[in-house]
Amino acid sequence: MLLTLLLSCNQYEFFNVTGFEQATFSNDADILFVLDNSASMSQEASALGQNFNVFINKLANQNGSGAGVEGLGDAVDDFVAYVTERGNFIDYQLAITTTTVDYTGAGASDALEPGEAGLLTGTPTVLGRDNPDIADAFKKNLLCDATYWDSAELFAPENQDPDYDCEAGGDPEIISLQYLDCLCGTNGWDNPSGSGQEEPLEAALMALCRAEENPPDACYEIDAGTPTVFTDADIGTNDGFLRDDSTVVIVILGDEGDTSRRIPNGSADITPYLDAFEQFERNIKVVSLGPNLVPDDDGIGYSLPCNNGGSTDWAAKRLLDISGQTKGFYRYLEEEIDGECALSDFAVHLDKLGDLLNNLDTSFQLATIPDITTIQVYVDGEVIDPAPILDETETGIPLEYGEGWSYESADNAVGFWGNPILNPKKLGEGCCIPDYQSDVRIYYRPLSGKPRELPFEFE
Amino acid sequence: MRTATFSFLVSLCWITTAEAQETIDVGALQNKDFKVVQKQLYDKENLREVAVHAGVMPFDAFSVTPKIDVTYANYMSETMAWELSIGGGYGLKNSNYKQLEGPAYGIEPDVYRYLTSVIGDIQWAPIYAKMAMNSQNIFHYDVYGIGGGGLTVEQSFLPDKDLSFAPTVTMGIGSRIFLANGSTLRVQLRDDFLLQSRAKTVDKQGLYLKQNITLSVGYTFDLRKMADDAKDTVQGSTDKEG
Repeated sequence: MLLTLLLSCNQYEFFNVTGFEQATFSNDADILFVLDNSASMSQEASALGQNFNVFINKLANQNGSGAGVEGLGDAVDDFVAYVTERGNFIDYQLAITTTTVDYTGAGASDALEPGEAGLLTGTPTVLGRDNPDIADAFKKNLLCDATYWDSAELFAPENQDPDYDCEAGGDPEIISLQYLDCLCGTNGWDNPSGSGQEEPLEAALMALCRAEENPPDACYEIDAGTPTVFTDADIGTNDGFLRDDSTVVIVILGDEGDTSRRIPNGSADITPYLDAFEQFERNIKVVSLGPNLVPDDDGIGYSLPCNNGGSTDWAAKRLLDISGQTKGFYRYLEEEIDGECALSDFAVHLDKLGDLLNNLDTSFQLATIPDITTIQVYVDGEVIDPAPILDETETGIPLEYGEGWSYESADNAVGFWGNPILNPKKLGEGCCIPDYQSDVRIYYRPLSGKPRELPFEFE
Repeated sequence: MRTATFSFLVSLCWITTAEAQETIDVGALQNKDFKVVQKQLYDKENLREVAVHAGVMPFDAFSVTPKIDVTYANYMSETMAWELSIGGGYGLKNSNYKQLEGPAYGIEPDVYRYLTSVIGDIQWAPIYAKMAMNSQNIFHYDVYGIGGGGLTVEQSFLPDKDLSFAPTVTMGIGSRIFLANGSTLRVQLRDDFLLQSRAKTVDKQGLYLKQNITLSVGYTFDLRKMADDAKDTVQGSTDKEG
């Protein structure tokens, strides 16, 4: 009794430590495109296909990680490239599915077809960066298998390019009937329209379930007693897409927002999907290219000035919220330019996606809001100092940092600046971006006190 | 005069002896009327002893610390002594700590590991007793309390490895079992109260009270006896040579 009383005097403060989320430090990124394959989306799919090289060029240095090296010369070149261009070392995989989950009654048959209920589509379904023709292969999967083309529209005069030369290849100025015939084979692009109920979040979840060796409970049940379309027979049907410790980036492309089944219509509460994704115990980010959802002046409501897809504000807001909460980003498919709605610049969107992937290894999110003064950063046991601000706006917003780390309040993340660390014991030779294999630990005291519920009682 | 006095005393003894043969009522004897002290088999006054203690601090919520103490004690009387203790150890993360710092929680408590301490204390041993075991072996032991103070050095488990030099107040109880060769076994529970400054939380709290409770077993060497033995050995050699 006396001893208990005495021991209860010991007080300890608790620090959060970030660094176990090895997915964050992995250079593997599994990127899932979830496309709305309804009739209104062919223009956007075309824009994605036409601009996809921007994304590939941002990341697809074939000398990067995943490509083999032959001999010392190659290895040295590889290392130099690594030091100078880390983004090239993101080892990514690409796959596509559609927003169609309710496949019964949609499309050509009631049977499950590629692209439906999370099943990946294309041949091959998973494209790795070691594929020498990855850009063309992705375009083929996108335009030939995942996009619904309205025949009447495709045969219209403005979509004809009779001079397109299949042999010469190259990127066309427009996605014409002739180009599609060359790419997909004659009429190989003729796919059924997707379901009218766009469920990108449910489709993404199902796609991950199909790729996971041991799918979590969320794959099987929407809630107690309500089964999903997923059964044990579906395990491994997206085999090869998810790699150990990879970061998963879900890219949703749709003009109608999300009407997934786990959230009641009219609600923008995305908690069911955040919880479901959490069960995968992976770093999952959602990027959305969605409806033009603009906050009202009162800051409470939203309006949809360019809404050709007929989205509702709550459906669009689901994508906006889940993108923000998973530290991805949300951008508009269409924008009002000079009073008219026009397709936004997909090159910019894909460039941003490339930046997101490049930054996977230089920006580390914290679990809770930190007391900034208590942040301590270590790489392989060596302390890293805060980065000096080299340039800032008149209002004091930093524009450029020197070597070190900085806290980014917008992302609740610690970002690293400078050059890659070549040797943690000799930071003078290069600092302060950690290597993928580094032991990076970020300690901080949460503003809220205890970091989270402790597994035992302690006061 | 001397002869007269001696005669008087002899006659007095005779009278007293004669009277003792008769019953005399002296009333009920009470405890306060007695003071009986048996001579202690192992006396401590002027005893100087050096001890080595092996101990452990098992009660911290996040660490467990094996520890060695070396003490020197000087007995000013049978019950009072002063003692100097120099300790060294190394705190290890316990299962609570490991559970917290693992991927499931990602939490590290700002725990400081014990490294070393220097403590001076006064020892008071009011109880000396002997105890029979199985009606055969008899153990002589005492029970003592200690109180004192000193300095404890600890280091943060977190990678900044911040060092803390903490003023320390000590209390404790123990028992000394006397061995036939003059050595003793000491079993002791010592509670060190540290006033600890922790670099990463000085903004939140200036000083933290921390307790290091050590359970230890020590073996003492009687320097007084060792000196006597050495003297006897030298004396013996001298006698032989003589």
